[in-house]
Amino acid sequence: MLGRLSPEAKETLARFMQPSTIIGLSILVGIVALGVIVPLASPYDPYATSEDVLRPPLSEGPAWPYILGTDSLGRDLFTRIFYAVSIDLAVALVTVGLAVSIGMVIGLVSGYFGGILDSVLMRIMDVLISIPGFMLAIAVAAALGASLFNAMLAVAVVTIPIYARLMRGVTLSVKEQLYVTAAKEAGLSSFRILFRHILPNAMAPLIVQSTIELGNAIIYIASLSFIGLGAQEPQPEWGLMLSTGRKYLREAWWYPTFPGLMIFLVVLAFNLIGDGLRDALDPRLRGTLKIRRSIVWQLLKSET
Amino acid sequence: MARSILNYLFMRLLQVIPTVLGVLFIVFFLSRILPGNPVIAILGPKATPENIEKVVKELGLDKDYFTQFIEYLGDVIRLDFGRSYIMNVEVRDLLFDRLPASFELVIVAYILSIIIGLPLGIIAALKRGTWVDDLVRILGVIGISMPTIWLGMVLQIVFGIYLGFPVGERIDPLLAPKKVTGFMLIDTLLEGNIYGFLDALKRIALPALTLALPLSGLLMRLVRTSMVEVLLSDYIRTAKMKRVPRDVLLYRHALKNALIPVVTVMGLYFAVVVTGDIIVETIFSWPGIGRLIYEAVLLRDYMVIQGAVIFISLIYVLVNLVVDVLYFYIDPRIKA
Amino acid sequence: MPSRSLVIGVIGVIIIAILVAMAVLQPPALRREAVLIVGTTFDPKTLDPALAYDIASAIVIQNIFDTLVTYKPGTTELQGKLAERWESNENATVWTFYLRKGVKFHDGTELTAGDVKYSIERAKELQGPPAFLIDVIDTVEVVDDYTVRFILKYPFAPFPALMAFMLTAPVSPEAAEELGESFAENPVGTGPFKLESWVKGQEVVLVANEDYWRGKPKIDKVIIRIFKDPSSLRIALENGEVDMAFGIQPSDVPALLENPDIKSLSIEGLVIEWLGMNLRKEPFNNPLFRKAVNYAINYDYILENILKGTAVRLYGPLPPGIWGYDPNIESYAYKYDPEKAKELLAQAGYPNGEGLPKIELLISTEERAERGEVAAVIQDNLRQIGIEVEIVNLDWSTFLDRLFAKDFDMYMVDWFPDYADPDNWFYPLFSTEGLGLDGYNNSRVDELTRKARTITDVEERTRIYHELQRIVVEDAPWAFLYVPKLYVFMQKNVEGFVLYPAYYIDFYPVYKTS
Repeated sequence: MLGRLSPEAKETLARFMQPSTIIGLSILVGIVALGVIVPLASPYDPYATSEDVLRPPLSEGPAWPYILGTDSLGRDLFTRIFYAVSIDLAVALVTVGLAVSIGMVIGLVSGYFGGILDSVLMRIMDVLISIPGFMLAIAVAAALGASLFNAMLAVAVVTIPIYARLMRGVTLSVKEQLYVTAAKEAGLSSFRILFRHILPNAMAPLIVQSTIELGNAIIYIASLSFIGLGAQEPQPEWGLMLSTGRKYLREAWWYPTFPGLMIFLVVLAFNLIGDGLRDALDPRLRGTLKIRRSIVWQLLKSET
Repeated sequence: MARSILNYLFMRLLQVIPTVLGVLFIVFFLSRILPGNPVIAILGPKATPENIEKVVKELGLDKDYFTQFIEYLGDVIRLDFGRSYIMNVEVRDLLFDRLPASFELVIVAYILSIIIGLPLGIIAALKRGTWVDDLVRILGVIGISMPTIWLGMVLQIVFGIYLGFPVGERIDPLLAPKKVTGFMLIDTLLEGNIYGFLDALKRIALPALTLALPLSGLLMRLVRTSMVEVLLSDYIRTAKMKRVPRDVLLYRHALKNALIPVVTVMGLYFAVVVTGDIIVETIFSWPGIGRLIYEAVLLRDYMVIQGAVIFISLIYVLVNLVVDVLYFYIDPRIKA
Repeated sequence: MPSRSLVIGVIGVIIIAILVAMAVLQPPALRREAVLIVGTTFDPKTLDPALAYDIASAIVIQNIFDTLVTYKPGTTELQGKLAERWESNENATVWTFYLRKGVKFHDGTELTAGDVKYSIERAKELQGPPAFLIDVIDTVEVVDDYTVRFILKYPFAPFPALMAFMLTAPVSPEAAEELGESFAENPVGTGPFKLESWVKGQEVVLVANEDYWRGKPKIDKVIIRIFKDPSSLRIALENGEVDMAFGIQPSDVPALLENPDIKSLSIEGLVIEWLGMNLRKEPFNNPLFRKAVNYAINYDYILENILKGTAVRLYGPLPPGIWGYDPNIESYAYKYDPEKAKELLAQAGYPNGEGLPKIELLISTEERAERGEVAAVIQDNLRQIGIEVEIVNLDWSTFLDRLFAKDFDMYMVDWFPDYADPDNWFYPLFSTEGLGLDGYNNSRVDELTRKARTITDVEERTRIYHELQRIVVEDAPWAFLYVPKLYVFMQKNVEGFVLYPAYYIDFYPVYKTS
């Protein structure tokens, strides 16, 4: 496969395949794969209670063994945890998607048109960002009522400013560049300039930022569920499972531990991928990497 | 220099005003659309309609929202956050009562994260590309990926149960010092109450560590990145050419410059810590502002929610102000 | 640079010294016998008996104030406290109480009949949340210094039980007048303890009342520490940081019962937990449907696996701990029988749940964390017979809001009695003159409930309540769930404590051995 790619494509691919990206992707792909396979293959209904309450991992079950044990209602944890993959990941994707699209539009409009519109929009973003995020999310989620959907909206609202500011910065710097000025003079509509010329330039930092924010979104949503403002019983959701399981930590360590571990692994995967992408996409690091490494080496060597 | 700092400060303070107004508005708006009737929460399920009406009048909940907001604004300017309907106490007193607990926790967490993060970050930067560097980077990414809800739980079990650390509250009530600063660690030392000090230290260790570990992961990465960048910059290269000794080079120039982004992010991270500790304070029964906010949201205690969020936001705005001024001070190259 | 190494070295030594000190230095015997440290998950809201209407406040208030009547240790039977005895006229409309002499308030003034009158009138005037309970009192007359007479608006047989409720506890008129609103933070009563300090949401400190009329309490000081997180309370108990713990969650109970260093007491309580339905709506207006729900729930599963044996089954409207409970109720109560449930559902016109609307089950898990899991079991049980239910977990005030606005399909809640008399279940919960939560309307129930209030003869009342239980179970307005037991966990050296079904927490007889 690789052999047929052009040399440029190979180089790009190599650039993206940082070790951290590879590790992060493997974790993510592994979890997603299990998230697809387990619900299809598992003989257990994630919602059905049973008499096998709080069984330890690997104990005997009526069909499969209970690989990760059972919860306080006798439901198979392994099945529930991987059922939750699609819920938690979908929630994170929608949350970040929502925040990115709204933030992007605000940032683009604000940066491109400037003036009073810019001041007003950015003031609003300043206000949003000067209320600590999770606190605002709690207030919003509480105002809307406790549900997973509302938790999603709450987290999206509080993360909009991140993208709006990012986007505005990029827009401002690109706007003055020659080709945009040229496009303007050529009589292109604002809409086309925004989407044809400015947006592509902003993609790299947006992608890096949103990858990392996917991890944060998972933590936020899980935390909201943890304090009772997110998912509701009997929804299989990691934060809720962790929250309910915490009561049984002493007698059934597996119940809260595995959902917690899943949150950790997924967040870790997103952070690793984000790191890798940043290294690959950050233009400042590109090309200078080799020279820089040699300087450090010389510097340290000459000192010792 | 002094003049420009003053000018700068003045301009920054002016920027703060619309922000604070905006915060007040958002918080007020949100707390009014919260579902649930606070009067029923106060009076209980068996309240009579006359009773409910009476309390609604007393609290001014029968006026329109605009009037309520204007009245509220006037009160906030006088630093009067109103009375908690439910806990039956002045919100201001409640906040000042809980503030030292949160501050002490956050400060200890900061110190812990610096003790852990800073040296590791420096070592990683100096040994860039070696296994040490890799290890620190791995630790860093693990640290920032650790969900507080899980970490706090695990620490509570390991230390609280298997190692017998006292858990919950700030100090054993029998060892409690007289309130001077409100910081247990300082108050006990002022009294020469060494057992109290140790008890308080043990109790603060776990929640502080829960907050500090993710923070130190972040710090590690930041220190490393900015150290490396500075080490590679023309600035240091020039200094090296001028034959500045290595120690001076590393500590005075490289470290000082590397600290600039660190200070900024620590300032920004303040918000994350203060709110991240809503979880930590709940898990560890820590009587701070984070837990207060959580309780207030559950009980629909409008006044406390408003007061606490505004209070924290004000502190946050203030912290960022200080950070900006520090920035100005540390880095002579920046003339904003 | 040597100075830098020195600094690092000194810091290192300090850190190591602190760590060593933490490990090695143990504080000298702190746990003085005379101080009782109580850990609880309940957070008092007010210490004014006229305003308090929650268990958390009651626990503290009951130790600062005395009521005229109290319960015999460990029972729901009444005995005098500030009143030596009492009597009523034939139809239970005039009640006379004879007060104990020589009882002093914390401020040194002596308790007289005038103070009792003052306190009742004050409570009526303040119109706190529980004030509706004394609506029954028309006037209070001072017969002489030690005799007080209550004239009621209508016959009310449970009146002495009502006088055991903290709302009626005499307060010092001088202190109440002088302090006004701040009386709630500086309560002055006749009880065995005085308030020393109260940090809201954190701790309440009580000190012994040296001049208490029953003699000085055995402990000098009670420190009540409030734990918002029940798991922290359990750890504090296991580490010996608290002497007594109230509010341990059911999932922690089995382990603590087995812990050899900790002892416990438990008693069947008076709190009942049920699943209510909105009888004004389809399909809940259909008794067959409601019976199907009653048969569909796996009660034993809930009691064993979620409540871990910390509760007993509720078969009808009354908990077993109250007089008037029908000992034969099990014979006609509902038991888990999914087949029968399916049959009834089909008879009701919804074979396998076809044609049912979307049903919401409202809960609030704030005060009972296990309710979420119980609801999940019920949801699964109902799903098995074809009824799809969505659980909606609300904060307490929203929950109450929707409950009182009758904006619900199903709900789960508990009921804590104000006074230990069967009337306090039937009248508010099943009579149309009561709260009318479910829209339950049975004229026979109304009539019998009213009749039972007017009769002072306990045997006749018992017969009426037996009949009422039969009717209500047959009508099945609720699915009757469980009665949580009350638990207290203590260190081995704590003695003298007695649990009351009515959750009267009395620290007076408690002492610690060395």
